Amino acid sequence: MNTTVNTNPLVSIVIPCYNGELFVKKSIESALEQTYKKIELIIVNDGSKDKTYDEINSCKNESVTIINKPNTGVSDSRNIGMQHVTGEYILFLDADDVLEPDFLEKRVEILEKDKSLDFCTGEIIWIDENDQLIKMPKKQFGIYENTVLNVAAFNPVFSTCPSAYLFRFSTIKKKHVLFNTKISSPADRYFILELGYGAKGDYVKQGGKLLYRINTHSMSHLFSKKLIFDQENYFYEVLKHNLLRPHEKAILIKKMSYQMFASFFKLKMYKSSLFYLSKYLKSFFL
Amino acid sequence: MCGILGYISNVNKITREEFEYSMQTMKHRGPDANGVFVNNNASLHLGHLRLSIIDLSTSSNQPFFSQDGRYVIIYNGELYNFKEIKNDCKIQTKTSGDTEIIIESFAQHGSNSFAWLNGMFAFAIYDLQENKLTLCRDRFGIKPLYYYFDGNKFAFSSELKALKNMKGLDLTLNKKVFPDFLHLGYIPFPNTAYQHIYKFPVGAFVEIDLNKEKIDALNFNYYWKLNEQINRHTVSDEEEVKTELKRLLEDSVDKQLVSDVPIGTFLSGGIDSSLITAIAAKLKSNKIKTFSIGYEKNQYNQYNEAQFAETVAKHIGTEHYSLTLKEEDILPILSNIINTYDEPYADSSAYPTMLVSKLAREQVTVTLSGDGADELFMGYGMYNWSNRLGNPFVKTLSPVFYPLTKIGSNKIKRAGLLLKYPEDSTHLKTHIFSQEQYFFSEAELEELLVEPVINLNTLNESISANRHLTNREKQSFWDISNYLVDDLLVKVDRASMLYSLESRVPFLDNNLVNYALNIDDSLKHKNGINKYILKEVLYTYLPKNLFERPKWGFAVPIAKWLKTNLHFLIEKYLSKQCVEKYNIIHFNVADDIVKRFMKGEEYLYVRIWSMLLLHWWLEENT
Repeated sequence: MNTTVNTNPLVSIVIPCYNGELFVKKSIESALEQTYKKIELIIVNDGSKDKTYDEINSCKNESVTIINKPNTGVSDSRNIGMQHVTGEYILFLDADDVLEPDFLEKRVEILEKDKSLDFCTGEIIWIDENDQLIKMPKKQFGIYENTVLNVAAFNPVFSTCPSAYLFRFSTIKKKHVLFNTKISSPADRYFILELGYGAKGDYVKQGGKLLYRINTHSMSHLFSKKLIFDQENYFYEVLKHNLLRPHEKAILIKKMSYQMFASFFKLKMYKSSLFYLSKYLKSFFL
Repeated sequence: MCGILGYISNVNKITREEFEYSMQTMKHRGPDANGVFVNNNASLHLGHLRLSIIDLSTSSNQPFFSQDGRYVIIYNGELYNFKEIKNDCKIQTKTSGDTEIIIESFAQHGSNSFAWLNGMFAFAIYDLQENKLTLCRDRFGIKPLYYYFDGNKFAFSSELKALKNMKGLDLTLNKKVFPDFLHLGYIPFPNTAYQHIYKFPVGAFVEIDLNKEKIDALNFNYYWKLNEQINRHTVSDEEEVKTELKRLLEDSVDKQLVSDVPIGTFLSGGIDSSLITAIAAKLKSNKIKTFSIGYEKNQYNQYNEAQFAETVAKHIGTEHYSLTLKEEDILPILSNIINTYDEPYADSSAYPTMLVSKLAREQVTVTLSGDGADELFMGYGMYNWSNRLGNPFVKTLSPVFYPLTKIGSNKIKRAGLLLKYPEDSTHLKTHIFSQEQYFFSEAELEELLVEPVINLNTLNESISANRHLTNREKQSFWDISNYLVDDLLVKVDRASMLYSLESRVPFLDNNLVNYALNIDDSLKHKNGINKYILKEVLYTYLPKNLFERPKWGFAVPIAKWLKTNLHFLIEKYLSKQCVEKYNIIHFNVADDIVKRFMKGEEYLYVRIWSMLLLHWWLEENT
């Protein structure tokens, strides 16, 4: 197949996978069937207890590296996968998502054309367990600079799904950015914030879509204690590591305090709920 | 469970014979086999003494090479999840032991693999290709590791005695740590009694590049930190905690029962050891062997602890071995505390631990013990003191109460000393510990010491946690990071290894600890009951009435002996001549304490014991 890109940089695709026997093969195949061919796949089997290993193994070829390790979570698995990356660009593909064939081609083209860019994202289509299209996102993530706060405060119209992003690996290395292992579900959001204000991105206007699977079993779509605790940790990690400017930080505290107040109330954890209510009320006077 | 030893220097090389001489001083740690590895240019020696527990074949002897021949390991410890790691990392093995899993997972994943290890361990892995050594220790310091470092030479060992007997090391004493010893009864991390020898940090590893002629400063990396396991929210639902705790305990005991040699438990008849024994008995198909010791009844002892153990053993249905001692039976092993612990160490419960280890070794090679539970589940009275003294009201009024306590009974006098806590309340944790254990307070040390320089700041640093900790939690987490590491686990390791017995500690399983750290304080201490939730778990195995009696430790009658059989030790080691020879404490202050003790202030006996041991140790080691 022809590529429209003249230069030929290596793209590394890191796929963390825990108990992903149902969809992992589809993900891997969508990566291997890209029109852009210069790729390496680093698949991190995060201590899966199902048939993931066999599924991955059946896709094995010279561009695929398989790392088998005990289960430590998605953030740690992505970080470990990153240690094996030799490419110029990196994509963290979730094991249930699927790439359109021109996904890499379009992104590499943009990033090669403008070397000042740190990442390139693109359109996302939501699919269900049976690959059926279920809903289109309202708005796409555009230029980074204006959207930090929206990303930080979970504005639903801004997607931080890592599978949609192709990053310039030198930027990640230069900034020593890692996935925060203290959080799981919002770890991708945090990762993008960590790249910081200086990071510059663009997006693919047409084609090169990501098929993002909305899995009814996936933790990021169920309201649970674990998820709220996870979001709470995310909130504190963002504050602790000063990822926002002061005025944005103040808005985040207000928004998150309200969200935590409501969530803990729903969980019937009234003491915590009250704590965030007072934090929320206090935020009006700061 | 074994002994490890290593020596690195590009400048001051030693011979294999010199290395082996040093290694043999730890023979008791590994009587079954031994081996030495020397690298190409003899800048590195690694030695291993083996006590065979899992995979008894010689194919698991060490030093042990990775399948690709690139790495070589010496390892002391047990890994309880090695089968899971083998499976998760898809490791093809040649042996059935855990050593191979550690080295192969390292070969695959480097230092990432350390965080996956659940067990007790200290090991060194040498990379023959890169000429680099990696040294690593478990999370709680269950397995010992000491190192020597002076810029030119680096050496490490399971016990200090091997380093003390290694050629060419500078063994200048570190006098600055003696005040710490008199305050706590042990020398706290990172120091030892020697200037150039240190305790290896827990949950950490270090890499040493042998390509460089000189070794740079050591950079420790942490793969585990206690404070990072503290969650923002505690678990406070009693039924939920009980169920989960029971599951985790059974899981831990089950994993720790894996052994290719006979295994038993220490059973004192108290909460912790009874719980471990009850679970072990439930999980094991054949009868479990249990061991206890106690004194025979006499005018001083109302109780024989062995009786309680026997009752519990009978109820569980174990094959029970008990030894009834006369108090005098301890006298012949009295000097063991000097030789076995290698540096000043004042925990007299080391004696019964040695005796019960000796008893157990006649039947088994491995035992389970209940250590760690008191710290994790708040079994000590001092946790309540930490809450009282942390109360600002008490703090304000303590100058009023303190003078009143000077005229009361011994008990009130002791309470008074607890109230007299340092102005600088950041030292509260060490103060409470020292007074609970009857050691010298900081205020007393200022009078006692010739050079009253006490630096307890680092030791008292507050831990940065995700949630607001109660005073009780602060004290118990301090204990887990300090008292447990540098005193309790040292006691058990050295006492059991003296008789080539492996002791395992199921309460310190990774998953169990991570869970216990986040159980709400209100469940650990409820209705005035210490260790409430653990007791509730225990009562699901054994009837409550077996434990309805006061906590009764195995006391060594040091106080009584210091007035009778052992008084000669005071005369010898706290004599004017001896005290002034070392010039660490003022003789007149020490002498006054001895006089007060002889006149009836019994609680001073630990203070005297610690001063005496320090001078005894100095006489033997200088």
